[in-house]
Amino acid sequence: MRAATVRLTAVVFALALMALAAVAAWLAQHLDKAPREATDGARAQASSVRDGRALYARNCERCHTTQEFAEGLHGPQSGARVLEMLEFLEQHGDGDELDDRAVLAFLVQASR
Amino acid sequence: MRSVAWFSIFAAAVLGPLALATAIRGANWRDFGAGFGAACGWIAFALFAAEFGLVTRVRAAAAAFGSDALLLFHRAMAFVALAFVLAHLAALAPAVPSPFAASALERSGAIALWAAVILVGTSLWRRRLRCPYELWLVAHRALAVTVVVAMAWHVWMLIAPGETVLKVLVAACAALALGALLTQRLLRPLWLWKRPWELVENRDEGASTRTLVLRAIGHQGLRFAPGQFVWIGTRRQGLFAQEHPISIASSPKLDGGRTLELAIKALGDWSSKTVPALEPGARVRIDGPFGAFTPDERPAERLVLVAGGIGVTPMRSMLLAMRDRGDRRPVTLFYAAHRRSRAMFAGELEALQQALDLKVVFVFEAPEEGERCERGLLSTELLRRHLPADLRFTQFFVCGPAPMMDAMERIAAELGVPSDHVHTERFDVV
Repeated sequence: MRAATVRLTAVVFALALMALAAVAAWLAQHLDKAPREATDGARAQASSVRDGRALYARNCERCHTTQEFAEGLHGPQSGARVLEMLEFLEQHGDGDELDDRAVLAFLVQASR
Repeated sequence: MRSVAWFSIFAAAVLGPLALATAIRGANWRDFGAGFGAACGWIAFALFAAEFGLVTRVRAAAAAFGSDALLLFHRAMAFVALAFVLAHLAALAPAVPSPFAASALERSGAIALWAAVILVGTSLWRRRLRCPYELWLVAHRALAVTVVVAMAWHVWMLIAPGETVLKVLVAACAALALGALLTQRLLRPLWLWKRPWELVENRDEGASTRTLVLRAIGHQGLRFAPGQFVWIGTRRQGLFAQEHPISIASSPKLDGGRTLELAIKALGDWSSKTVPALEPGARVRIDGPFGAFTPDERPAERLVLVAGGIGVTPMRSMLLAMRDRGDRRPVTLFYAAHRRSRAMFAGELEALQQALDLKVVFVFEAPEEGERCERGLLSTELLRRHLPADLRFTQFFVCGPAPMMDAMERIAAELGVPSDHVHTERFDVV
């Protein structure tokens, strides 16, 4: 196969990939979005929830919806899910343990 | 059709992860910019993983495209993959990531980025950096593994706990890439050492070229088409084995394929130091045959072979095969070299004119006084003097230095040769 053919194929393929990346991003905008508002909880947790909400909005909201993470954090079987979520927050992002727990508290409230 | 099928597999491997990620995670991409950046990241990861497949020496794929075309495409895709990494970064990262950042997400991204930059840069500028090929190859593989592992780690951290399908996909992509490398570098060499070849003769052909005559030990040898090449390994070091692609110079009918002749010109450390030192009795490893650079299965009324320097070795195989098969189709061989003393097999090729309908045209840049040859470089006018006007049913085979092959592609177009009738073999990709 001639070198010119290989180069042309590579260029066309690259342009197609770029176009498909744009298509994927556009399609994603038209998928169903989860509700972003979180419910407010008891006054004893108000401070942590507000801090958690701010942290979530600043660090997580650009890429993740609240519903995505809040699912399963409330109810009889939520223990394992809470631990799983905590481990995920520890491995993910820039926050320290206090930030992680504040975000988790916010998500627990959101799941109710 | 074979090439379309193989290309489709490659495209599916690159686009599959993006499609899955869009379906599973797309709703989380808050705006077009974030989505585009994420999509570029997925494409970059899939491309770098798929790159391993392009150089895994799958014989069927090499036969469909030619091994040199796969290498050229592999090189081109590396640039494309790096471009997608940079697009991902531009869309999503507030600053250039640091490999020493506190965040594991940033660290993994930085490692992947810088490993990819060094990988592509050292491939592009290997000769300018005066890096020996063998050292470059070891570093290249290490960097490639680093890129894929760092990218997989980076993506893994972004996947939410419930997105098991994506986790499996990421793990599978990384595992397949690393598995391909392990198979090629360790498992296959171990298997090939069970089918060794023994050096019978190490012949000095002049012009800094040596011919290794190899005989199969304990197996039936190799079935190959004239013009194909093999990878020869001369040291038993598994992952660090030295392997080099060398065209087969002998006829497929020589000793029923149990004897091979490989002509090797001194061009680097291995060819100028290791090869001359090989003594009869030495065992080597042969992997092959590979390549689509062969007149077999390409119907033609006439063949035109254009060789420059060591590029004459596959042509020798083709001509010897034609002699052994009684193939009397007209053949014209244009052999370009600096002067006759640097033209390998010159006497043998002239003698073959008695056994074939062959015309050998030597093209010397600096011929000796009284030398009967064409002078200077290959040109459209030079070829026109020796070829008929109608070349529609002629197949051209070109092998030599890259500038010569580039020039021949233009010359063939000017001569009216259909583009799919011009076949080249390039190996100086790096």
